[in-house]
Amino acid sequence: MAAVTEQARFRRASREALAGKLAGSAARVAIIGVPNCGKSLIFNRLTGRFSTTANYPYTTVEVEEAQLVINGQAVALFDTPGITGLELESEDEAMTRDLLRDRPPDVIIQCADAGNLVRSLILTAQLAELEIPTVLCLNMLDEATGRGLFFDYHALSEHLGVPVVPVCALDGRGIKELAKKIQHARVPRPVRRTGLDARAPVTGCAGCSAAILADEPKDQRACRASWRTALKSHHLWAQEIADLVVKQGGLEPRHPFWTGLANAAVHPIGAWALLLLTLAIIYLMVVEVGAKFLCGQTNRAIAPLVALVSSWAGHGFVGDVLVGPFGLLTLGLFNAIGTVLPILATFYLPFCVLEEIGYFPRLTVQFDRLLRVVGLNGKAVLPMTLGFGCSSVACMSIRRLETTKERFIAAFLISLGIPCAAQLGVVIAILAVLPLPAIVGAGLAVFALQVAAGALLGRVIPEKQRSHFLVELPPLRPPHWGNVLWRTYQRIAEFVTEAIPLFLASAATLFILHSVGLLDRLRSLLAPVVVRGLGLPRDYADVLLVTLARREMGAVMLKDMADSHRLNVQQLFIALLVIVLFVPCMTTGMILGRVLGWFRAALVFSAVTAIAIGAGAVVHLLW
Amino acid sequence: MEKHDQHDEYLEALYHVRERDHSDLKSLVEHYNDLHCKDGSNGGFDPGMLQDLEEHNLVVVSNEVVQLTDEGLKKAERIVRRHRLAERLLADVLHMDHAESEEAACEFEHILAEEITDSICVLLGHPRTCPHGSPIPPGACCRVGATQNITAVIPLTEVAIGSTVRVAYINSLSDAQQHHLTHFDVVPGSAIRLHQLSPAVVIAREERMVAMEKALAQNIYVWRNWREAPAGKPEPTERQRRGLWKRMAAFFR
Repeated sequence: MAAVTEQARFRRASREALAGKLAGSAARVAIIGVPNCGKSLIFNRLTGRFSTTANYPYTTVEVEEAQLVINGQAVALFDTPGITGLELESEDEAMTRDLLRDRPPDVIIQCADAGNLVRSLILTAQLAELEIPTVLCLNMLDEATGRGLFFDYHALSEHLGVPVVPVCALDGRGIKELAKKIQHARVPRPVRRTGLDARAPVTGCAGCSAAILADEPKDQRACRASWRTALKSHHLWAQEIADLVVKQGGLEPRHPFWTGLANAAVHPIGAWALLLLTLAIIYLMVVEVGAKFLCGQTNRAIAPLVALVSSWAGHGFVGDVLVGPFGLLTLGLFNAIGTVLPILATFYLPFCVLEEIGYFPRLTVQFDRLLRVVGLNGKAVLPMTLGFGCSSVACMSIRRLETTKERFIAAFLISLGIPCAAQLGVVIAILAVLPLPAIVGAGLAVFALQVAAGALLGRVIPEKQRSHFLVELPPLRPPHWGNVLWRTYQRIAEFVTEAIPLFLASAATLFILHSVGLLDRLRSLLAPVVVRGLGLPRDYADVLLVTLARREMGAVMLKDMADSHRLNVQQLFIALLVIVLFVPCMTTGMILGRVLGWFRAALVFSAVTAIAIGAGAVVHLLW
Repeated sequence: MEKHDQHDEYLEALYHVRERDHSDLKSLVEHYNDLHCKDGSNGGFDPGMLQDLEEHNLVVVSNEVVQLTDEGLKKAERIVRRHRLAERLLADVLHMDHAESEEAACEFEHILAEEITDSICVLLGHPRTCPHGSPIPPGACCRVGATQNITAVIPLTEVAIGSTVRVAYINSLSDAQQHHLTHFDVVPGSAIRLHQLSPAVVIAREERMVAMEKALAQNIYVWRNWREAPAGKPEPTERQRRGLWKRMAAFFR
């Protein structure tokens, strides 16, 4: 304990020195706050960058860093995963704790949800003990004032002893003021009871937070009063402050449509109806608008371009490189732009709308019981839903599951049968040509396999301690369209910058392998599996190879095969089943390695490959 | 302090040490000196008391190891049960200040009769943990699961859907859950509305909704008959509440 206070004193001294000269080197500023209070949005506003934001808790699962200049001063700004307090359980929260402990920031921007000040103030009480200069930024002000809440910023600032800045991160109001206030950050006043006994400190434990940060075992902490007592006092204190500074006008109810929708989304039957409706809308968007209309348009625009290039390049080496069967343009660029891009855009638009209105957390209620069958609970819905956006992002977010067992099972299921947005889009587009029973059958087969695999894992993996399902469901709110479009644009831009080079590289690799004759050997090597086992053409091996680089590229190659009518219905069914079940791309593999450890990641990948091929072979045998 | 009460303090300390899987004299001395309840003038550890207890066949001391006999354990369990039940009643249900409720609980542990202890237990729906999260040793009433008309608090899962109820206390399972519930503002005293029980329990606290599994909701105990105080009638002040506990103490004496 002594070491901790010593450390705190040292930190304070160094911080005062820093405040005196206001930085030669970059000041370290961390944005810290409770989950779902808009930290990432503020980070984005301050930096002009994009880190994923959404209307659900635990969107951010890694500490993000950005270098920028604020008021002529170099600043290293950190965006952190949300924490409810310093007593933590999941890995992503521990990252924030590690940041506070091992690399303590010079300034904390505590982001608070104005609509629910008490929960943020409980965190403030704990952070105050760390004696780090702080600025409190009161976010989501528009929503709070819209509901008839008014704030006495001055009084709040007085009580806490730190500058308070009202902000609406959604449209950027107050961000400049926040940037200015960073240099006026102050060490918060130690938490004291207001009201009757204003001078008595909270009956908790001074230094409790420091002890928690230093990872002292609970029963050895110097603070005698139990942690629960401290929590209770912090809660009382927070409530008293909130009562003093928040004035409630007539509470304006939300629009009945949104409350109705919010209720329907957790209703035992309504929730399924809503889910089906949502899926139907996404399907129609992707197939009718994306695959049929937009892809048609882009392909019509691209076709003369291909003709032009091939007439210019002729049939020699240059022609092969550019527009041959493994041409950089035909296989690489045009596939990415002509097929994947329109489909991705039409998928992400409704996905971002759902994210924005806060629909996904409500799925946790609906799926809690089902996920229990596979050894998870409702909390795992969020990472798995994210998997439909991008598997690598999903695998990153499994960190917020509490036990190793849950993380492993979630990673397994995400790898096994959850196609990412781009692949799903292309797969849906291919599915459109299959008869309806085949579509339903494929969906059910994947689902049944997932449940069976999950249930097996749930039984087999020993459980040290069970985690419990307890989540907040943020209120549904009308989408802010600017934000939806911005997010969709960002994701598409990400695809263009990240995926297109990979598309080109994969096309080039295939071309080189093909030219030196290695591709043929690989095909022959895989032929027993592909041709005999699955009953597919030899060059389906290319699809599998390419899927390792980018999932959707494999799907696009399959779409080309389907479009040129080289596969019958049975073959198409098997081919689709296998690539949907097949392992996700290498990027996901890397992330899984980091999150689960390399051995477990390798286990997941090999098991998933075996299941994918096995399932395809079984269908081939039975059909 | 009477000698009998002093026995109780030593047995209580021994029980606490035993809960932490220790049995050495050193931890006992350390813990005894930390205990809130020794309000005697010379609060230090008195080895003579141990001998006294040994004579009463309540403990066995050998080689710096102190252990409760079966009889001692039963007695200690009853003391701790009284203390922790009183804590539940005073701190969470009657919302007394922490320090005050602690002080009062220390008195109650010596004076409550067995029947009254069980009555409180039934009244509170057999709470399993004290406000600090330590287990309350079950009494005879818990083993038969006695419910009577006097049961004033019931698990959240037993109230009618759509009704608004006030939380009496929470039998929490872990610190993290306690923390999350506090964070969602589900604490003793807060009004919550039960939105639905299936597929998962959803409660609404003002505008916010919290979903949880049934096993957790079963640990949230709420007042059975609770009506919102009519508007205009202020909440009882700290002083009024203090009056309440004095009346309570007088009643039980």
